Amino acid sequence: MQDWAAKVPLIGAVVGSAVTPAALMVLGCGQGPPPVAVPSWAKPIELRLDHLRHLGFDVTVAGRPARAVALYAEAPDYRPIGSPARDGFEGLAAVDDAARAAVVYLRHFEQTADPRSKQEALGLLTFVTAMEQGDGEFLNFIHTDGTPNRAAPTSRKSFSYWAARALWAMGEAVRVLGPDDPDVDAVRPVLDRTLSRLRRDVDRGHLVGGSATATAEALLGLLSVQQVEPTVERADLAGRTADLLVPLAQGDADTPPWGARVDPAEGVWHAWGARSTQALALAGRVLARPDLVTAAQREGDQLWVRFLLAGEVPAAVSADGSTTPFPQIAYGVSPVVEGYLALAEATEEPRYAVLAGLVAAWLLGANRPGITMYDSATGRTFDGLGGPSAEQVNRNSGAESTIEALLALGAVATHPEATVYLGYRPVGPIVSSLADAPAEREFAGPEDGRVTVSRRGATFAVQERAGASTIELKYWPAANPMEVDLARQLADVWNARHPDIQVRIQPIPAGRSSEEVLLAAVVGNATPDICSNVSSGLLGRLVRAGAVVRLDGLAATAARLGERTSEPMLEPMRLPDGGIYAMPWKTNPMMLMYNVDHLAEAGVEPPGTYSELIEALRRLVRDTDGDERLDRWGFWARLKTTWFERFYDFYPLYLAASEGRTLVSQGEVVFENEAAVAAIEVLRQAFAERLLPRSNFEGRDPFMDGTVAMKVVGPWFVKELEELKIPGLRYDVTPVPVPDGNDPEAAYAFADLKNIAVFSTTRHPAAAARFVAFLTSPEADRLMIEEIAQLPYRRALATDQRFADALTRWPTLQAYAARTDRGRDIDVDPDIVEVFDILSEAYEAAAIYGVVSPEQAVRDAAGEARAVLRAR
Amino acid sequence: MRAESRSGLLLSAPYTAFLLLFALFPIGFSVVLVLLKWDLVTPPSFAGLDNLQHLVADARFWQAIVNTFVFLAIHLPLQVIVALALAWSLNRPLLLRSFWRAAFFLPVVISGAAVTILWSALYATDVGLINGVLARLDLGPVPWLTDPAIAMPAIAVMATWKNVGFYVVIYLAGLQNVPQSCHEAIELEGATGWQSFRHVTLPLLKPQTLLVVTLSTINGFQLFIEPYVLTGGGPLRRTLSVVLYMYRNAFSYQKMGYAATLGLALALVIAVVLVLQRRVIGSAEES
Repeated sequence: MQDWAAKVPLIGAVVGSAVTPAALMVLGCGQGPPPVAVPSWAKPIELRLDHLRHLGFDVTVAGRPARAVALYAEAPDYRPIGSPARDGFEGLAAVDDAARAAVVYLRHFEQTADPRSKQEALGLLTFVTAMEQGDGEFLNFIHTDGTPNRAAPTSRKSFSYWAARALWAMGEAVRVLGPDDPDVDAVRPVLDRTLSRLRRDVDRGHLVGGSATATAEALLGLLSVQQVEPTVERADLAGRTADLLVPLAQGDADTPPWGARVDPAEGVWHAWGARSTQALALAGRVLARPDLVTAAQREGDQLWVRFLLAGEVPAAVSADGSTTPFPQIAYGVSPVVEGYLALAEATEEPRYAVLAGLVAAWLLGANRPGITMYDSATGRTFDGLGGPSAEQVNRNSGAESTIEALLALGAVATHPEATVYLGYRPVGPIVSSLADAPAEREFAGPEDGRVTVSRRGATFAVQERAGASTIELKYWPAANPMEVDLARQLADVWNARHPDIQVRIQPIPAGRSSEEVLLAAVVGNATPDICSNVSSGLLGRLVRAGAVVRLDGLAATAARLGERTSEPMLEPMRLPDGGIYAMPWKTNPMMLMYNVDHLAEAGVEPPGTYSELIEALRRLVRDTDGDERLDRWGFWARLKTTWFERFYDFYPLYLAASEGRTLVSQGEVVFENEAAVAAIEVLRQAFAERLLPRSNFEGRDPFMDGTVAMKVVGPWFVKELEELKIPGLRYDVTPVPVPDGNDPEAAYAFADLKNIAVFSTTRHPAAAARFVAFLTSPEADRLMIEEIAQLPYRRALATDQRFADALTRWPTLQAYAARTDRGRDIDVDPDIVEVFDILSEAYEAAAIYGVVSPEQAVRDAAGEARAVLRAR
Repeated sequence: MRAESRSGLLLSAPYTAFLLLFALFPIGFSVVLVLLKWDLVTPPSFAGLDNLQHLVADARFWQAIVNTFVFLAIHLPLQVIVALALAWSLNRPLLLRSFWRAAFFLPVVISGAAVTILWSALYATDVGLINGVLARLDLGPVPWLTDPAIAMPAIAVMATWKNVGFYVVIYLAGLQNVPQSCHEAIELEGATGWQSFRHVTLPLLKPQTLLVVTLSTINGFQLFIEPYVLTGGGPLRRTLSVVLYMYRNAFSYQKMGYAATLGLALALVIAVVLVLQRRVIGSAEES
């Protein structure tokens, strides 16, 4: 008994070894992370298409059922109506509006994958194409019964404004839906004829309809097609169209009209439809012509900067610089906003985006009467300001105002550097004369934020102060040297640009895993503001603990999510409440990497199916030194059962076979299926035939030294491989094999995502969100590709020209980039690690040791996993 | 007397505090945790007897218990025999005796993780040193860590190598306390060296053997780092130890309640085994 008592402390230590850390941490547990308060100004702008849909109606045009948009809606009931008597009863709807509305819907579909928006866009495109007259020219208006108005001057068959907008809408359809989409086929003949008609004008050196506005909109459509379907001919046509716009600029930094591009016939710059800056900037980027970007900057840097210095965008500017301040309409603000955003993208200078946000603020009240022109509750936009007082607000809400506001706000909402300035207002009196505009103007934002825009010769400067005192953010990147170095480089750039928001880097503290360190930090309320090494497996727990901030609820990160991803890419990241709680930062889509020479020597092609894989393995196993022991293999499947080992064999095979179905969805087990059985079976067969080594290859990578000819791996491996491979090893990648009869190219890849989270302990959620948006900007993404050979989780990465050069920096990266859109990660579920462990043991029993059948293994694992999910 | 008592309390206060914080509090807290469901980051909830019910029906736990006994069945006798043999050798006149004593003790002070990584290289099937030697003899290769029947014995051998130095010291101390006169007396009676060892040394080393067996048993039940690094509990769960499973539940799955239940169950098993051991060895001692 005495001995037993003597052992109590010892046994206590045994028991305590598991719980002491927990016991100590419990002292801080009761409080949990304090809930972060996101101020209303830091929330994203809500885009509502309700009013635009309200204006839509079904109509039959040229015998085809289509959709159109009514021209007007008058307050207070906002009933859709057509052209009034003052305009000569032109009709109920027009190509002019329908085409631009189609652009709104297409962009909305691009962001949200909302099928309603696609249907609306296709219906409107049917109307638009039905108004084409067989030669690329268009009618504009229709009457209530759908018959075209051929008589009105604003509707006659011509190649003018409405044809240009039709071209814009068709081009956007090709870009957004993709050139191979069957719905695009219906548009294609009209698009081709319209482009031919445009070529006729351009060949003769004519502006479309004699107008910079129409020419710019036609050019936007052409460039949309060129982005996804590049041809030399189209590039040439686009270049020559852009060249027509360049010489229209008049004046210079000190001479009115300060670089304004004016229609030759009118000699006046008008705000409405002034999209030539946007078109030139986009042309410069798409056609790789810096001269066009410089041309675009001329109007944006000089005339438009004077607008900001004066405090508002006037309705018109004469050649002598005098202005017509009113009416101010959304159609006048939207082109300036999108023009600045196009410049921001073409130059990668955030200062343009800042100006875009400041101009777009007009829609939210940064105007003389302080009226909120866009109503986020209904999606209506007032038709305009007739003068400086509230009484002069036109509270009707027609199609054009609604569409243009949605275009502008939709664009700003996907630019983090712009969207955060929607709440800013000009300080000081508005100046009507651009010549007398001050050299500097301050804009005041929430929480004492200030932005100062100042003229600097032919260009301008933007300075920002986020608040009364300097904000300091703590950022934890992963502790590996490559990522720490990347983080330091990015933080240096950020800190230089934002002296008022300084970021301090600290690699994730040492621990068994970053997951454990972060959980310990959560328990101890010692989390950083931002961490960029949050796995999807951990995310579910962090959300359950209320430890991270919802990022689609913050303007800057919501904008980046919109700019960078699509709804299908985000859908697996959504938590049950629909929220996105981490920015999917980088992806390592798994592919089958193979030794080119070993496969050639064995006379096999890179395997695409399971049969081909088994056959390749049979041919690749060798005894190269004649000692009667196999020493070269086709593939190595790891023997350990730790959950993440399955990232390199079973799980990629399963995802490729399951059409993207994962393990757990909405709290239900979804892996009890044929794909899981097939993925285990193919590896079981390989082990049973002794085609796979039963070795852990401790301390070395058998692909690098030529021992195995194939491995499933992501692009992160490429940099390491280049540094450590045996001399002369040549390699390439191919999609992971799929069951016989499936198409490997269409299969999903394991995405292996790493995410960035903002922790609830931050005192500066808006500033943290801005830094996260910067970490995921095109500039930062490009650096990531170049420095660490990893890929941003970004839509259409492989075809995005901004990353083309970076992707050539490392071998095979382009092939990997092509898989980023079809990636699936591990499920964002709090119990996913345990589910993986269970499945990994089942895999081991069936595939490696063959002690149970694959069917039985999957069935048993599913049963166990269900019990785990039920118990929580 | 009162001042003396105050001084005593004062002097014992640090250790008392240490004991309360790092032994009694964890034990008490782990008992409470058995009744809770807690993932560290959200407030705990009452789980009733769920954790205990799960334990009873948990095949992994029982497999881990069986595995631990398999480990002990190999490790304990091996540990005692090797430690005793080494101690006996090191207690004799030997060239560089201090060096050998230090050399055999060295693994004890080396980090367990480092030792395990070293052994993983020795055990590697394809390029491991052991299989390399076997290959020269036209034997093998032996899948030391990937054959379900061999993996746990391989781990037991490794654990023995790692810990034997400590037990050698215990036996050395015992050997040095065996009176030389006893050996001389039995040798005068014509006993061989083996007989002298069997009938004099061994009985006199019984207290040390009891200590070695007790400590080895406790350490053996806490088997963790070796399977954690070498096998992850495989193949076919044959090297899954109770502590490894407890670690997984606590720190991979954040099931602190269930991990505490496993901890208490392990403490109970250790207690029972220790009591049985003491009875068996103690009765042998008495006899």
